[in-house]
Amino acid sequence: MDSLNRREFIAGLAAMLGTAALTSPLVNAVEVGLTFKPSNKPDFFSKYQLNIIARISEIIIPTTDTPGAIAAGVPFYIDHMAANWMNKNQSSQLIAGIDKIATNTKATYGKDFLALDNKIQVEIVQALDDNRKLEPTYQTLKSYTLIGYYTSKIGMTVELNYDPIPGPYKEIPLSDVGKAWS
Amino acid sequence: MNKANNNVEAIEIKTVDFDAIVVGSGMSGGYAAKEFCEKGYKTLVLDRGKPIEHGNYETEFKAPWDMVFRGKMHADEIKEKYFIQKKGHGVSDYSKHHFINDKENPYIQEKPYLWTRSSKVGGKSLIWGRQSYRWNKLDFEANKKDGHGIDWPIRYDDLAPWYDYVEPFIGISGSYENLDELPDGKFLPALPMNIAERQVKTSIEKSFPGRKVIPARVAHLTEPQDVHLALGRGQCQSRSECSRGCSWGGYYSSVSASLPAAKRTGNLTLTANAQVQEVLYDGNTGKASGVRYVDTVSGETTIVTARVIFMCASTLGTLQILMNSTSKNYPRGIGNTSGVLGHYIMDHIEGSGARGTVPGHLNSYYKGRKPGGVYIPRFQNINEQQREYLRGFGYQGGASRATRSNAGRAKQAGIGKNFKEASRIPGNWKFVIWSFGEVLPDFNNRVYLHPSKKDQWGMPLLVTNVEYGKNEAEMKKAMTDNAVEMLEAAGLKNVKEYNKAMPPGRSIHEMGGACMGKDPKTSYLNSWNQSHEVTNLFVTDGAAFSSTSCVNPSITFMALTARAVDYADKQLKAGIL
Repeated sequence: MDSLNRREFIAGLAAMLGTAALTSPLVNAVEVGLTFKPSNKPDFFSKYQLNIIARISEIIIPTTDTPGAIAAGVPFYIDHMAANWMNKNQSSQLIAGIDKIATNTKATYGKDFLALDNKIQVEIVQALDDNRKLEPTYQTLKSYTLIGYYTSKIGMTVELNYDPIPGPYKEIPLSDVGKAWS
Repeated sequence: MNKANNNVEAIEIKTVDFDAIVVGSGMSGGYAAKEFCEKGYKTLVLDRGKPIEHGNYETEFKAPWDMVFRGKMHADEIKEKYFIQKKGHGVSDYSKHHFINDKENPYIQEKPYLWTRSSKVGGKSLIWGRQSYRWNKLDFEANKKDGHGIDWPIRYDDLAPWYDYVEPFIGISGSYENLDELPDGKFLPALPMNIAERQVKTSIEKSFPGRKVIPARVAHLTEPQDVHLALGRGQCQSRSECSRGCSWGGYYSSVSASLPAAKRTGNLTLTANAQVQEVLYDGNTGKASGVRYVDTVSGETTIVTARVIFMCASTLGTLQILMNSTSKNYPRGIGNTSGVLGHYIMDHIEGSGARGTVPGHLNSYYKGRKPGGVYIPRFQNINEQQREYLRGFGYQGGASRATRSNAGRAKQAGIGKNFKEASRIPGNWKFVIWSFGEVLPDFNNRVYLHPSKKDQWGMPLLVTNVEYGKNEAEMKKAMTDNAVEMLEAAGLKNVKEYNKAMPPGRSIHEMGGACMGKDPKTSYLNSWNQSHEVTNLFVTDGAAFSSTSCVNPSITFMALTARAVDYADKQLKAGIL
């Protein structure tokens, strides 16, 4: 994929994420996220499926005062893991589960998941989370979102405190650093 | 050195290549090399592992995002190469290259035995747990007292000066406690206990007089001394990524410490990829003449000779070589007229302990990932036999704040901003202890060579036939029960026991098989780690051990090694060897 296609794809991804995503910081954030995968082409999922993953992961770990899941490259991380790390059984269950979320949403709301208002998307994800014990696909997505986010450079160095070479162990008040070490 | 003909017996040895050959370069071999080289002996160290350069550890500075699967190992890779190693300690995507390829290095488990092996020069000293405790007086007397195993030919007092000798070089942090059950050593400043550990210490010691909770004693430089700095070693940086290798030399490994010390004398020759298959016996002199090894890369066989041979190839590795060293005089393995070689294989029992939450202290935190928490020394059967089982166990453990930013949180409810912000804050203080228990020496627990199956280099495969008995089962239950009882008494919440069945070998504290003893009819080595029969052959790794104590063995390997080299040196100088 050449750079023009890459930009188009990012723009397309941003467009599908709703109006908030069109603001330039998030587009930049998406660029950062895509650096995880230089070719920008999902290895395993369709672009449509990857956009659903992106949306769900961003709802789980949203952009706040720190970057969220998309900026941290979570969607491509999940794609990479599905393509290269999961076994066939796991990855085909995941793909079927994502399609099912899309189908169910369409049946219930009469609209594509990605075309729904952000508020409704959040409601859908909240319902999945409330019911997570019976939703293996969602459970998998949430679990990979957390791993992908908190092992990313953004998750480890921006969201949490990164301390690769701490020096001698010492006790400190939490208030001195305010958040957990990654 | 001679390239071997097909008929090894036909090699006529006219010159001696080296003063000393040390087989293996881990805990024991590295130390033997240092001692021989420092005493002026031309020393050859042979190690079957691949070469490794201190300061050039391939994953040392990799962050998770630099790793292809963020540090997770691929199931296919585990299945293909690490199907045994992965069941042990410390194998991760960051450290896997320091472990042996299970497919290329088979052995036969007649009974389950988890054999962890290093793939590198430096052996398991690169990947060890670094906990360092002296044995106590009881440990050396136990076999005689309860009749299990062979009576040690030495006592604590024989070894104490050698602990004094090796500890400053290794660099062990610890606190002075003045306990008979866990003798003090020559320590660097102890690691600080954190607030939760201090609270647990106070409560347990109050509820259980006689039990102690002390800072873990670990081979980490909390305050490097000149002896360390001279080798380029420095302060432990609390990275907790030790098994990748440490350029600071913050923890002891032979790669960072003993091998460089040996090298700077100019007396060291180190050959990697050298699978020693046999110690050669010279029927005319009644001594070992050298060893035969195969280069695992080229497949070439070489014979090399020396005045004295030190076997430090790891407990089972050493036994495999010795049993394969057959001759007319020793058809069952060199120096093995007694037939005791390969018997009394031991390990530590593990897999039992408890964990819980220490309430409060939520504004207390730390900087750094401490390389050791606490240690609870053995408190059972000290002055008298009080328990239904013989001997005893100790606990390692420690406290840290729970991590909320991980996959485990996926099981908990929550999405969005609040969930993300809550994940940013460290969780409660968690305290955990796990136990290592002494295994009784049993003649029936043995390893031997398969009569026909060989590895790709022609070495007969080792067969393991080791299992735990009734004493171990009873002790294991007590290890769990006592852990729960202490954590509950200490006021921890949500105390949960764990008690997992673990096969022998799992604690990577394998010992025995070439036991020391007074009687050549029942033991393989004398009180100097010297073969009763072949006097220039020494075994100073775990194979020499007649019992296991319940504490981690590595510094005792090193103390015995230094003592044996000192003895061999005096014998060589006296013209006896």
